Amino acid sequence: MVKLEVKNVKFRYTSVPILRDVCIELAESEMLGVVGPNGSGKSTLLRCIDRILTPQEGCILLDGQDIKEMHLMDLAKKMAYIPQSTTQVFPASVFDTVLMGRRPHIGWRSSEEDIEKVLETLKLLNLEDLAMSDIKSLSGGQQQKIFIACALAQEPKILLLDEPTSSLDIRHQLEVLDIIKNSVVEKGISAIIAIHDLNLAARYTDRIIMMNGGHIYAAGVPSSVLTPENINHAYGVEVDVINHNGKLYVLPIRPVAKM
Amino acid sequence: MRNVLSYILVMGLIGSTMLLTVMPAIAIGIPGDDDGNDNLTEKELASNILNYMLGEGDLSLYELRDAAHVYAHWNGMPRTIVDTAERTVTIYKPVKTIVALSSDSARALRILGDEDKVVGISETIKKHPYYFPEMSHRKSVGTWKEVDWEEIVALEPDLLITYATGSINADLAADKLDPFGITVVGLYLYVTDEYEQIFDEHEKLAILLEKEEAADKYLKWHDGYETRVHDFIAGKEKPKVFMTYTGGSIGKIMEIASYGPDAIDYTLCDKAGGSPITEVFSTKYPKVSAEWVLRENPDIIILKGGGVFGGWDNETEPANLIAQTLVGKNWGDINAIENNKIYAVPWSITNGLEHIYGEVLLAKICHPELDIDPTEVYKEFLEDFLRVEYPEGKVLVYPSLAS
Amino acid sequence: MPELKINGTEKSAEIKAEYKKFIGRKIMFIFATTILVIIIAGIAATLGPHQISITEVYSIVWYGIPKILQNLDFILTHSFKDFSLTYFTKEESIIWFLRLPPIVMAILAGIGLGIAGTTMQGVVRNPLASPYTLGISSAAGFGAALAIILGAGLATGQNIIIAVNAFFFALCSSFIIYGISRYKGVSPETMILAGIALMYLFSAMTGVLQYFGEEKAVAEVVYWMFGSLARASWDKLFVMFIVLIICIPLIMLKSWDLNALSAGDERAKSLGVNVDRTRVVCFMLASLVTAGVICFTGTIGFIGLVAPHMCRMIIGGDNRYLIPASGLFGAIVLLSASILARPPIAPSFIPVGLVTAFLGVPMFLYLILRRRKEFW
Repeated sequence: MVKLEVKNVKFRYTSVPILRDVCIELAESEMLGVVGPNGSGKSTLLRCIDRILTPQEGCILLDGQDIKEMHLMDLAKKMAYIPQSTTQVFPASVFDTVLMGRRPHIGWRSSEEDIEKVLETLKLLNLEDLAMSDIKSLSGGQQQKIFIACALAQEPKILLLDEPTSSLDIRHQLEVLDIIKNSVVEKGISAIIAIHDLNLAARYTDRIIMMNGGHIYAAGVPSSVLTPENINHAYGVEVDVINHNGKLYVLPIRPVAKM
Repeated sequence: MRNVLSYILVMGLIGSTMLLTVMPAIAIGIPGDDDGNDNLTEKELASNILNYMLGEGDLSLYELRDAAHVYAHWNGMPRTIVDTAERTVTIYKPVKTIVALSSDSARALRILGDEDKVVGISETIKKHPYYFPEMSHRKSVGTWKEVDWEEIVALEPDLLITYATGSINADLAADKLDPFGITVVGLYLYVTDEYEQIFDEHEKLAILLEKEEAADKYLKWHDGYETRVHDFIAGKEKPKVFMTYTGGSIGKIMEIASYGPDAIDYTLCDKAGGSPITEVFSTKYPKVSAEWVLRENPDIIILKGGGVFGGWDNETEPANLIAQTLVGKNWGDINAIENNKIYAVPWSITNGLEHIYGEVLLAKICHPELDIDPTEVYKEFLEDFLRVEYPEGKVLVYPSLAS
Repeated sequence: MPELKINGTEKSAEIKAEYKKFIGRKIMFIFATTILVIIIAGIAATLGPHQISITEVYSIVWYGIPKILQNLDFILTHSFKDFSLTYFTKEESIIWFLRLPPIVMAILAGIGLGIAGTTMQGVVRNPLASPYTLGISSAAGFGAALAIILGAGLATGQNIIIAVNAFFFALCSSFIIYGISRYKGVSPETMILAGIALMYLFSAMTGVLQYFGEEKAVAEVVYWMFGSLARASWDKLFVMFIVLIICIPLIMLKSWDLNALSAGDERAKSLGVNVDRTRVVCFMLASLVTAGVICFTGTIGFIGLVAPHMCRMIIGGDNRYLIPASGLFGAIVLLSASILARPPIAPSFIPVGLVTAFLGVPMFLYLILRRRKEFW
């Protein structure tokens, strides 16, 4: 089990800061949602955590070790990041795409064990029928599942997902998040999900961080974060939050001036 | 950076392998030179002849004949020259068969009287049966840019004559033909920017072919006219000349190209008693504007037309060439135009071994009182040296000069 | 539930078998192309004025190798050419000195350009990239033009100077792109834009040289740029071989990382791939291969663009197999082109660089028209 700590991270591309002093601690087997309006720094935060971007200040510790000092391959064995949109330029079979996830674990040749791992993942995600199809011939929802399969084949301890459901229909949204949730539960891994849909966030995550302007504006269990006041403040939208069958739903009413 | 370092290493490695490619020249000896010291002695020849008569010799009758020839005419020594590609070329026995890859070398071979030895030619020679009646019917082995080396090998020539540089340069040819014992000589045999080179090359070829006398005769003839021109123009005022050329067909006249002081045409014009207005340029082939020519106001304009071998067939073509050149130039006020002193001359006849014709022609244009008829010079070249009849009706300069 | 589990295992086994078959097919393709290269090379070696049958060709090559090895000390103390005069029959010399060098050059150049093309396409994640996209060919052309036009009349070592110059300038353009991308970030966009800019710059500089050059030399430059195998000789082939044998294994080692790049930079980074370094190293290796080939052949177009595509259509995009396959495929295209470049009415040759286009375009269009799915 690994423990992730994000300490006082500050990041800016040019002079405009994107992240101003962000601190997060991720518990074991936790599904953490990151919400916030566009440009609030959600994606940047995920990229910083996976060392795709390097923060100017602050540090990210994985089991107490600064990720800046870790070997890229070792980091890749512990964390997998799935970007919002993955565009595969060249043809590749689903099997090969998932096998790619084994990259941190293998050299030039893939072993029998890697093939078994791929088969296992395909089965877990119920993708076996697609195994030999070309990824570019599949729908967006199927492709997203395959990229998640690829990330799972990587056997990370932490999954980082940037808007995994943004371009999917409602059924695929649920399927994909179910897959992630199941993996978190079954494999005992943690996940950080940047997500726009507050209802899905409320439904699937254990804890939510609400970001606004590079700060963490609110953090805690969904019911404590997703309050009409917080949402009004962060998004500038008037909402109703209702409880239906024990689940939280956010109903937008109209945009208003930010409080 | 580690990558950079490794690249430097790789490049160094490549560089060093390139040095290894310099290989020693091949050595084939004189037939019968048993001790291989490149000197066929009387004793060696005698013993070989004796062995042959006893039926024990290694040499065939042909080789024995060559050996006797080398002993009798070459003092038992091989003939060596350094060609224009700066390669040492050595002949160990008389050259009996030749492949010539340019019309320039074909002309030289006719002047030397060795056209019968030619067994293979290039496409250019094939195109001019009038000037090369025998050679043009020999086997064609390729063009200036690509030849079939195997065809050359199949012809089993003793000597291959090609240009010193270019696509089929002497180095490349030697690379291909050395393994077959075919000697390669790299000679341009056209007038290059180094004026004296052509004579030098002509003599060197004569040495290889044992035709020094023929070469001398040509040189004396050439020098005779050169001296006459030189003496005639001495102390005379030089008219201002503008020389331009076209890339080939009429349609190609796009810009006004000329010759700078380093180019051979500039030198020829100077020798002919003209003063090229392009004196100020540092490039060999400067491009100038119509306005600049107008300002310089040349007395004479010479237009060289490309792609013509041995003159035009009619006067329309050169007339069109001049007309085309003048379109849109606004040169009406230039002395040369006012006095009708714009001449078209075919490119080829000022660039080969007959270039003395070009020199005399230019001199005659610059100084009409010169007592040499350029046409006679060309006629002599064709009839005495190329040994073909002067073709009637060919236009060698337009408009024709009043003699 | 136990029944379902059995079904699951069976399914997995099925997929595994299918995957293995898939891999097997890729290996078969590589094997088949290798055989085809040898056969076409054999056919090419029978063409020429001297009648030498295909079996004679193979036997001359087969017995020539021990002959050369046994007399290695003679070759080193004298020269390869002396050796040929002393030990080879005329047929042997024709095969070894006139016919084999262009054939071997076609093979090496085809392999080099095919592999460089695959690598470049992977590096810039753009299927329209080729070994020449990043200005390498125009830089090499400029280098050659510089040597041909400014060195006109310089006879000693002219062939080597042209090659060295072309090689040097080709790498120059790569180093400039490398420099720019280090400064501005190693993104495909930066590389492609810098490459296009350099391409225009070098073309313009070649244009200036041609404008002021002597007509003979200018014609020479144009001919050089068409690409030709006629300049082949064993020493040049040796140099070319050294470049390929150093670079290609290094590129192959990077094939996983190139696969990862195909899914995007961020995903590749998350997979532990050092994206910037992979990109720079592969780009430089591909440049070196390209430069090492075209400095001797001139710019032979099209192969680097087309060979990767054709192979991708046949065996898919996995670079571990795609790289060797497109290399061999490139060799087949160039070899076939060199046969077609030699029409029955010799001695008129068509530059092989032009024939590759005439040969490659119809094949390429055919594959595009009959393909059933999107490939990029």
